Amino acid sequence: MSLLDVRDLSIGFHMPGRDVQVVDRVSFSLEQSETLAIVGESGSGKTQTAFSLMGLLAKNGYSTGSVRFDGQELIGMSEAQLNKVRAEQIAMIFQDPMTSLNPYIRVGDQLTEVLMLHKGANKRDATAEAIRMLDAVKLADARNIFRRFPHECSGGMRQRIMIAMALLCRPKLLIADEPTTALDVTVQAQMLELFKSLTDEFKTALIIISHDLGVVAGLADRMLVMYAGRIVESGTVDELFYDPRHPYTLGLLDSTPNVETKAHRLRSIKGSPPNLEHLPDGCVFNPRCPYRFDHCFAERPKLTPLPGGREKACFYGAPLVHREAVA
Amino acid sequence: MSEVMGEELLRVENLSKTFEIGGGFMRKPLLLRALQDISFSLKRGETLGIVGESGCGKSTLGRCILQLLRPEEGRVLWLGRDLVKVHGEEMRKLRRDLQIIFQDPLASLNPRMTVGEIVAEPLKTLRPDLNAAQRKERVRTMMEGVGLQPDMVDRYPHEFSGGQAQRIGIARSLITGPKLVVCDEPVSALDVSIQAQILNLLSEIKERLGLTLIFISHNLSVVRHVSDRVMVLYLGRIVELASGEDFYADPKHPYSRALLTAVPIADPKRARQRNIDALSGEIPSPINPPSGCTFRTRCRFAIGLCAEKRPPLESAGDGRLVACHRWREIDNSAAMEAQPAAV
Repeated sequence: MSLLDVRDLSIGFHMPGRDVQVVDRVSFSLEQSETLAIVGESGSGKTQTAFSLMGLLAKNGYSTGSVRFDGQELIGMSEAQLNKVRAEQIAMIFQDPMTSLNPYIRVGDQLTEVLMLHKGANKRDATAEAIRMLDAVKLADARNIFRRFPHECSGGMRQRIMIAMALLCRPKLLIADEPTTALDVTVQAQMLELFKSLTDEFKTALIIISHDLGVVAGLADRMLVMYAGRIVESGTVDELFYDPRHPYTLGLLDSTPNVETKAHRLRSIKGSPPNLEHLPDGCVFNPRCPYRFDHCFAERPKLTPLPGGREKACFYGAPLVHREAVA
Repeated sequence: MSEVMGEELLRVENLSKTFEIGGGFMRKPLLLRALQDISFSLKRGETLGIVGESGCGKSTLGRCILQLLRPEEGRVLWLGRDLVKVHGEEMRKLRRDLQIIFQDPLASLNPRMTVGEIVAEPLKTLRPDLNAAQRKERVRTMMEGVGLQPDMVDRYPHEFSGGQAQRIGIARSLITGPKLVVCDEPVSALDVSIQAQILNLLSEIKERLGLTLIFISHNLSVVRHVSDRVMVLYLGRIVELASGEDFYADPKHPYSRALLTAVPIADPKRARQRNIDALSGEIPSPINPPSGCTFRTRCRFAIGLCAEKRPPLESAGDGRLVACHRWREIDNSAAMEAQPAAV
């Protein structure tokens, strides 16, 4: 049994006078100590997917389908039960570490509170464990940091504190939403190394949400590519990077500038993502797709397994030979 | 590309900019030295990439060149004239030649003005000689030039996506026919597929109009694609200045080396193989920078000398400048490591 099994997860928001669906029947699974990346651009639904796993959708949001985590169904679970799962078994790290730490409470108290509340630890044990965890995330001088307020820490330190806090209860699953996007590149490199060593050390499964294919390439085992609320392709990182089968995956790879080579012109994807309230008929990517043909306007492709366990949602059957963008 | 590049357009000499932080009655403000002793020149048609991490002074430098911020020391010579000394009406005339493109496309567009008004605005102030019909004609031509439908002129910024909004920002910057455009993180707020479109648009416009660009970015992959030369800033000082080719193939300063190895590569096998020479620590506060070489606190090559004496920005051949006491030694040892072991 997989650690996480998501089936036909759909997410929508009640808006004044209408209902907007932002994620449409997403299915995927995650094994223990596996790292899965969810990749996509703004509005692709990658963050809302993660939020709904944690039961963190905004008040007007709702999700349907099934999310089985470690044998328990999370959709429809009561807030009290969910709180227990969230703290002890699934933890989340957000993009901006400053807004996720309480500015009025010392770092140490924020860390020990987690253990005292969820594990019933006493102050002394909680302190010892929290300091051990600050060491584990390679924060030099953990005792000193313990006494600081969040604003007295740098961006990189805060993100390490967030990671330490997330790992305190030894969760089975860690969800990181753009965890390095707000950081400088040298600090980002430190953080990616840290994620690698920690998921090894604590055997934590990791879902990393990112728009940056470079970050994903070095960290993930498998990846999902999302576009306009749908998974368009999934597979191992090697499969998707070296042999993409969906034109959008190929377009994303081509649009990403590489620091090791200089191209005169980047192959970009023409146009921009669709408005979720006015999706095109047929395949949602068809207005931007250089490989589209008649059928792409008639029917919306489903995510379909290919030999070897990878999946794609695209009718185009031939290998993707580079084509110029659609006129 | 060097053969098409023309005469020197811009020369910056010993430019320094300091900000005062806090202070008040009977209290001395803290001094933040954002830029210190910056000198470089720029030829017509060239693109200079300025890279560095947050707080290194790259945006401040762009603004000091355009006199949006006035530097305390140094000269900014534009075709031989010191812009620091130019004010008022005279400066206004020069602004036709000197423009800027900002990072956040939506935030830099007035939500109450139509796109046509936004793009025409610089013409109203900087080209009072044009009448309304002439302005309108130029706006339409410029909209087409940046890939926008000219009939969108009556729409408002919120009706546009991020990529389209950045096209509007570019149209506004180019409408006066500038010679030098400072692009301050022009694609950082955009999704990757849109980012590629805008980068292609900038290269195409640059060639078509013969522009000279200063391209400020924290993204070294993006800078590689657009720049002829690259300047690396660290805590307000130039640590390396080299041609793009030399810089990316063989960085000399330890900070440049660390920056380049830290850039994530969208290639899983390369990413797994790569030995990341991760820098320890973060950038120190520019209010209280380390003595000597400001990079020494994070540098694995630092020795006693680095704390005592600031390394001068010196020539490393081929027009390259490096500010490091030990770049030669480091260069030699890196070459040794790179050599295959004798069989």
